Amino acid sequence: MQASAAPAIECVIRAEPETNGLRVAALARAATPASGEYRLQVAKRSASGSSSTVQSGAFTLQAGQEQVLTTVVLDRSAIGHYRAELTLQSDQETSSCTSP
Amino acid sequence: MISRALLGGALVAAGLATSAAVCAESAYISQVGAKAGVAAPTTISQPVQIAPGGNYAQRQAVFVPTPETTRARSSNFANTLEIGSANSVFQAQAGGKNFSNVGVLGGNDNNVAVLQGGRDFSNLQLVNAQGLSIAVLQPPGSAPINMLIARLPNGALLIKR
Repeated sequence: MQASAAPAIECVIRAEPETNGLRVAALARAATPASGEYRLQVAKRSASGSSSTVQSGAFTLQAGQEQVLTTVVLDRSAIGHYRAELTLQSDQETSSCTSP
Repeated sequence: MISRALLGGALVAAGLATSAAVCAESAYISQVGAKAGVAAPTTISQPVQIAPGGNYAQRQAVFVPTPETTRARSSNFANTLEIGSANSVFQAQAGGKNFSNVGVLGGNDNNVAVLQGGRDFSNLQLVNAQGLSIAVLQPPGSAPINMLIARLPNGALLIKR
């Protein structure tokens, strides 16, 4: 059985509670130089209301580099009541990840 | 991809403006590119009482972007703070170097949409607002927006830029 190759671009969503809210950061890592476009969607629904954020743009990664592509900060009511999805598209592949 | 995202966002903003005419007051903010050198128009669909921006505005604990938070970024940044109930905030950022900060403090049933095309800055704060619909449309490279909209204790609506 042949092992599948590791993805060229790794997709990471890092959600960290802070004093003033919840910081959701979209990160990308690449083993080799890569470029493409990203799209981050973050939705939150809580008692204080709902919010939806869509961010997109281009990225360029160096080999072995981890880069923060974009950041969304929500109020603390979003903790446990949000969903984030990051999609990375390059010439070589498309990868996506979600949080939580 | 950018233009597609903006078009989608514009449709959302139009939807907000339409619903606002039916059920709530609305404020519509749009800008032309900064290069055109034209002041950004602000249209308010219903007559509102504009109160002098005196001491009340100064007492508000409104987020003021610092140089640290506004430094040049290659990526986008969106901040949403909702304190109240049944508020809705939609933010769409295409391209890069966008910064958006939306605060809905103490109000309810408000709808806010911010659409940025790249290299844009906006800071919008709603204080004690009820049923407002606000759309901020910024094509790439627009002039920055700083706006406070507050419902005053006497019922007047303060709009301070």
